[in-house]
Amino acid sequence: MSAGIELINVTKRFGNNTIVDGINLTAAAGEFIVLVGASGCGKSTTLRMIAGLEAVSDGRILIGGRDVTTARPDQRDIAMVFQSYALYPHMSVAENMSFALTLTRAPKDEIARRVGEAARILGIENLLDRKPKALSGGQRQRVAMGRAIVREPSVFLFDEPLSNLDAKLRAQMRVELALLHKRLGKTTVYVTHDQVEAMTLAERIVILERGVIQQIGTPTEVFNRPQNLFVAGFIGSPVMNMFKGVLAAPDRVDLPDAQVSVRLPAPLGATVGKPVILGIRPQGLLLGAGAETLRMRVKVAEFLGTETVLNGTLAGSGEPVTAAVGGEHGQLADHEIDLSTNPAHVHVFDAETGLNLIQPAKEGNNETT
Amino acid sequence: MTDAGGAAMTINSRSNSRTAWFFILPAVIIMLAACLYPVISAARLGFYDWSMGTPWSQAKWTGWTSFEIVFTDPAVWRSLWTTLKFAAVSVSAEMFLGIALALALEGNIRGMAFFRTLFILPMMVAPIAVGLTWRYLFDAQFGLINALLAVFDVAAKGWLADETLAFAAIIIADIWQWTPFVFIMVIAGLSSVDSTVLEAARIDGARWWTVTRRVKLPMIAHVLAITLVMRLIDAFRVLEVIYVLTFGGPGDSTEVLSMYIYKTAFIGQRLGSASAISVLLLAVVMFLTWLALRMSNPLDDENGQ
Repeated sequence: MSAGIELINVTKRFGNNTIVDGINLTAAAGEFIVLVGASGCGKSTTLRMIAGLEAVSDGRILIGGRDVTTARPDQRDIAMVFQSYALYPHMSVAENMSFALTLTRAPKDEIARRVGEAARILGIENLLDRKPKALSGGQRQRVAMGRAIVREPSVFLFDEPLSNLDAKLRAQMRVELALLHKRLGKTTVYVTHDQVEAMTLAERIVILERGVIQQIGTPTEVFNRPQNLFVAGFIGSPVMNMFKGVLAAPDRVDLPDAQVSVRLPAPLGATVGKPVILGIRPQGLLLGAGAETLRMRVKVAEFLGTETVLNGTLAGSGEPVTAAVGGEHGQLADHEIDLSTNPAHVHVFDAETGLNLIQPAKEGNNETT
Repeated sequence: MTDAGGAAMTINSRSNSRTAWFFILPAVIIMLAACLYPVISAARLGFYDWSMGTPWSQAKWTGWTSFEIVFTDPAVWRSLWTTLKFAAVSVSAEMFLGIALALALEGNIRGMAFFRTLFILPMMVAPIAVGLTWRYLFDAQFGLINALLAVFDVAAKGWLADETLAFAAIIIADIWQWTPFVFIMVIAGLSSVDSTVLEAARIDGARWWTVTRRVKLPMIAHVLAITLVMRLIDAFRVLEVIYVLTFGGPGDSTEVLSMYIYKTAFIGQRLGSASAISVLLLAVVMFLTWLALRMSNPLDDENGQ
């Protein structure tokens, strides 16, 4: 069984601070939703409200169509995996995994069957008698997931589950999580500050900032059509370049300081003369002069194996620039080079509102109020 | 690190350790003089018949006679039994009340800091003063306790004159003074418990009592064990409050081991026997101390981190 989740105008206030401000979000049954944002953006609070660990100040939460706004955590048919794993230190792995079932007085053979099944899925059958302190970080993480699986809930909640692991293990567990989701098909809400985790795991990403949803969309949508400056800057690595400019013509942005004019993929409806922010992904900057050429002073060249990330400043304006170019170009450090732009990676944002002027909000993509 | 470096380290740490011993030597000498010497001389006294005020040269070597008394004197075993009863009742009540209070007062409720401070005050009072205070409270004629009972139409009781009530009185005084110790230890233990583990238990379907019994208290089991043993050690050595409150009476109803040792030495003037019984008490307390020290080791990996 898997159940959808619906958040209706969910708000959390601590005193005068509004941590989560009227969130509306619908997750279909079986969907993998990732809440992403910087620390303090309200993503963990939102997850904890879904779990029932935190009371909502306003709004309603529905799981599987049932209003659970005031229900106890154990009445919501959810399981949660914590960043610190939160294993019971005095219990063995098997006891950790079966604790919830023993509380419901499930039959012994049923408990053994479900614990065995979960342990087999996660490859921790040989650890069942150990105490958590005798396990590595990765093994504890598996036990925490096992404890969630054993309960066969309708919804899985993950609160930064991979943040305490080293980079290599994190990448490996990320793949395992994706496989696990495919296998179990349970609705999942996953909180992370790591946009790579968000991009690789999510069916839909929810980007939060100061308690407000900035955009909801598939990884492709939020990468290719960021609705505003915040999303554009948050999603994508390295971070998108942002230059101050003016809309000189419907399909042209001038960067006065750099004395360059950049052609846009399509003409805009906005007023000519409007101050804008030109956003270009590092991958959208190409080596060599083109129809319009940006001069870049390269300070550092980082060779990453398949591409080289050039960090420097824009000649004329001195604004920081990052370009990700294919191949090895370590020799470009301390040189001044020509870059051309790939119009597909060019975005224009209103300098005042921060909204994307090229890609207006798609139908049904904007669930923010 | 290279092998040469490792060897240098070893030599270095060896001479460091010699230097360290040199620095703590004065403290070690004072500790030995203050602790080990009295223990040895008390044990030695057990082999002699000697009265205070007489020259040591007149002391008579009696061999193991005094130690035989330990095993044959019914008063020794009676007072040991009284000590056991006293320790069992008072310490279990203190543990129960201390844990219950700590569970009730943990968390950040407004005004709790005030109550926490209030609750630990009895621990700060000197035991002699505690004894005196309770003697007035239990006083048959002018005591506050009988006055309170009178409010509920309960007849005045001779608290310190009745064998059962006197025993209850010393236990009440001990509970009053030492429940705060258990309270402090448990509060400190509870504050170290990872709150996400408790949240995980709530999600797993555990309600308050189940979380407390099956997660919270087991997670501070080491703290509870050490607290228990430390209280037992103190309960076995208890003297001052009883000395002031009942002086072991009426009869011998509240005569714990240390009270009996005191009477044997300073009233009966049988220093040899008193020393021999002291060795017995010392053995019991040392065993409990050893238990406490052994339990204090696993504290560092309490939360399985």
